[in-house]
Amino acid sequence: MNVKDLSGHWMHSHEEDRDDELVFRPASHQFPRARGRTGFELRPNGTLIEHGIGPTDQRTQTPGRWRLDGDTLKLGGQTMKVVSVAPDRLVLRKS
Amino acid sequence: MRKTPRRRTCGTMAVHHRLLEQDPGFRARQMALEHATMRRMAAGAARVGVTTIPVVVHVVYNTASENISKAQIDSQIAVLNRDYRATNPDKSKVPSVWKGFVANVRVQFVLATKDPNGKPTTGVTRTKTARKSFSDDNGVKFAARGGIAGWPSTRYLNIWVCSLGSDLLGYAQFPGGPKKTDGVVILNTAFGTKGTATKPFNLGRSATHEIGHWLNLRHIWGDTEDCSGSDFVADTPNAAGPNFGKPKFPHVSCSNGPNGDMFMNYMDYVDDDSMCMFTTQQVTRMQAALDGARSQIGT
Repeated sequence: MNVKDLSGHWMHSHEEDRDDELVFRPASHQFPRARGRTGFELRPNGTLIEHGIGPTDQRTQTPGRWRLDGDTLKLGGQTMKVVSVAPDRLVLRKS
Repeated sequence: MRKTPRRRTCGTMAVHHRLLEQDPGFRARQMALEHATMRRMAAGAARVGVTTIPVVVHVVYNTASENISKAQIDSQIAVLNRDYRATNPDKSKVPSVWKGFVANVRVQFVLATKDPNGKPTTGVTRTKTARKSFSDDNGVKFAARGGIAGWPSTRYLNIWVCSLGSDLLGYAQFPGGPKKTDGVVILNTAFGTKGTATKPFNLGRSATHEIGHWLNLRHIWGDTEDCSGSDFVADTPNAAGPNFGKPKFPHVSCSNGPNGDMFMNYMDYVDDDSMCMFTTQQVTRMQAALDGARSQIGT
């Protein structure tokens, strides 16, 4: 896998999570309505925008940086393993 | 409850901290409010009995079906009056370890019978808009942006009901914020239990949750996607992040076993049929808001 595979706007498809595996889908995916949904935009130049949930439910966008070392994804201050990536599905494991 | 951060703090707190750094007024107001809240929580509630809060529901619609019925509005008020008095029958679903934590907020809600000019009203305004949906930018609260202005927030709880973009069921404003945007906004299909209310958000709990924020409650997970955040409430376990859907008890995070996250709390993110309680300390915090920044509202 490479930076190009992971670049894009991914939103957390939390309905599909299994145990410690987190499933993400492209932002264009037809998600069911949820009380909130987080995600991130990974740009090829190493910058990112995190889409978060604010303290009164308004949405937040926070800039940051990301890096891929082998199958290790560093996302802001967080480190996760890339389990699989396809154009319509990204699976990460918490580490 | 707090622990040393193991990972980054999420965007929410980054925004919060940026505001703290860039806007000295925001920092001062937040600190003053939190200190006052702590003082009032320690002192005990000044209001006795049940506080009755007049509500105005602003229905902002583009299509006829979005112009929700009075019956749907009444069904929402009924839910609030069960949830904020702990008379909701589904509180029986609270796990036995937390049954003793279930608390009566001592607040009830009534549709306003007098408008700001003292004239009789149904407590409902209806506004046709050209906008197909609104976002979380407060646009629905301004006529110039396709919405309608609220009524004075010192006397009324403003509830705007409209269509919202995807993945948004509603949003709120804490006490002490700008008056013109004070109140809560709820998605029309997540409002009440009848009419256009749609599963799994058809039991009126979005309004219960947002009014919790309006009374100064934080999310149960402390607004960080790790274990570093706090909701400033002592009797809710520390939790890593929001729970969704219909979790099974226990769901352990942040070393909070064996009982795990209190995901059935109204301030988590689960489906309407899976949330059913406020705790004693959350009630203390809400009553502190009613004695503080919201001291003018209600009788």
